[in-house]
Amino acid sequence: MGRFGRTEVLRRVTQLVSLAAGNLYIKGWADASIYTGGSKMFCIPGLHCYSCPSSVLACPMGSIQSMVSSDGFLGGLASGRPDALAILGILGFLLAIGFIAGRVACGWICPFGMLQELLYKIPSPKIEVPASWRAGKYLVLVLFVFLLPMTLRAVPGAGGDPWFCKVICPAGTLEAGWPLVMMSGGEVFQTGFLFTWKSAVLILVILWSITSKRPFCRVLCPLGAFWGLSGKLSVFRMRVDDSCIDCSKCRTVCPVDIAIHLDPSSAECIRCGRCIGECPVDAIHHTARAGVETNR
Amino acid sequence: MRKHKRVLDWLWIPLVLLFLVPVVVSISGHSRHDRPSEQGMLILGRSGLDSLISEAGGRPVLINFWATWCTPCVGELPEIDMVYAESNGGIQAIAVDIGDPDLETLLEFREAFSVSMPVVWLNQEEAQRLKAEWELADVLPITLFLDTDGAETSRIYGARSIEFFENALSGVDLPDTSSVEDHGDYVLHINVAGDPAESLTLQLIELSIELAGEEGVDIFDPADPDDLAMLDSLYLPASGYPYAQPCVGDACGRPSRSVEELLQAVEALSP
Repeated sequence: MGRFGRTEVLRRVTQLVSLAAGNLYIKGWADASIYTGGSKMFCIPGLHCYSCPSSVLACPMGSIQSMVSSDGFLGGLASGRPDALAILGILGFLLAIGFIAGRVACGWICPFGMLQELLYKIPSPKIEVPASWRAGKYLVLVLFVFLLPMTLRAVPGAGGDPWFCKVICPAGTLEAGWPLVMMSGGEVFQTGFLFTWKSAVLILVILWSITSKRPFCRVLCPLGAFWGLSGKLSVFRMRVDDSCIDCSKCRTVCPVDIAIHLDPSSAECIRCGRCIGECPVDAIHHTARAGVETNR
Repeated sequence: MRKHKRVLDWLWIPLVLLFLVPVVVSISGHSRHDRPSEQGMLILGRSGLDSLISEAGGRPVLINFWATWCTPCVGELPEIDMVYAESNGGIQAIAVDIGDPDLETLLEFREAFSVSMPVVWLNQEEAQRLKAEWELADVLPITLFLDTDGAETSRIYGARSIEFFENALSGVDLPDTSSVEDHGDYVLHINVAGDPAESLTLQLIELSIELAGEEGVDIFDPADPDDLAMLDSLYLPASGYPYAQPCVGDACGRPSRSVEELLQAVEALSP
């Protein structure tokens, strides 16, 4: 059954099924095309690039940037323009998930999160990431997902750019940038500086993931920041009761390296449930009681 | 040690701000590119074309199908590029080369000819597939206009002026010349290039005269420097002699290298 029991097996199966369900357009890999059907109106609850050849869903971060960077977005939102109002649908979808169970999709669905967990299994010296670095993703969310796409204009009067996708997102490089460049007949010929930059970012994130637990999720992922904030108020959360003996085994197995016994309502918790099975005194539980942080 | 840790705790700030470097580089690079004389990006493959269309993000899209050997296309490209540059990102314009099976031809062409709008090159197989899928006739240039929802609003065969494209993109209603015969009078003209002593050249010349009349045929001998210069100025291929390229008005067929190919190309242009 494995080290962490049935929950961990179920989680891995859920991640793989989600990955398969979001990538039904296998033909895209054969002819280097991108699926443009109706399902692309909907977002996958995870970081998964719209331009991945097999993807049949859109990335929520990409969609948000696409909308806020459109020319006259704020005016359109104020006047009720349908294309601007569509952002409320995406934000509502993300907030609904966040208010129900915080970063649960990070732990159970996001394919890029799963990849980082698998990379961490590679034997290597392991390095802790300072807890303060978690703040980085909130700055990424504000700066690269909202502020720069809304305000920065390469061409005056035109729309803006999705800067998180363009200069950071390693999932996009892995799932779309590299494959489309490498696939016969579908490569971007003059790849240029941004492609080189993003390739370097992806390589560094891969290397970092081998030595540290889910570093991108914890330090840079704007989707994680979004769900982390809403997760502080989520209905389903973790509870640690009085029987806790402070052994910190929960932190050792935690994929995002949090001490759940000290902060059960941590914005970082991805609700994977690993700590529940690992606790020697069964002190950690899921709870659906809103507002309850701990019984300790 | 404690001081060292304090510095480490704040390192996330420069880490995130480091990502502003490519933003600044990209923005400054873009402003340099914002001139028609600057070479725009070249993208290979159908997926690149699909990406550009999907990235139009609510802007009208102009897709121009062309080839380096198509004289009217080459005359028209700077006009389209001017409209594209002057729109300041208000429209998406894409020049799709579907007539040069060899990428080298396009790369050489780009050494002497710049357009700021993105150029997409398709190999022969992709070009054929796209032509079948989009029901494109076997002539060039062809220009498609897509509205802000990505739906095709107009299809133009043959070259047009800058005023035409400005009107088209500012919403002025246009006739949909979705067949070649709609485009002006049918006057066939054929350019033949090759050594007149060669029998295939002679066959192509004879057939061309039969199809277009003596006045409708121009013959170029690549051994003659004046003719070679003329071929160059008309952007006709400087290799693969002999060939015959039929045109009707400002729409041209593919250079043909046998009498059968020439007949097919002329038939494709016929009303």
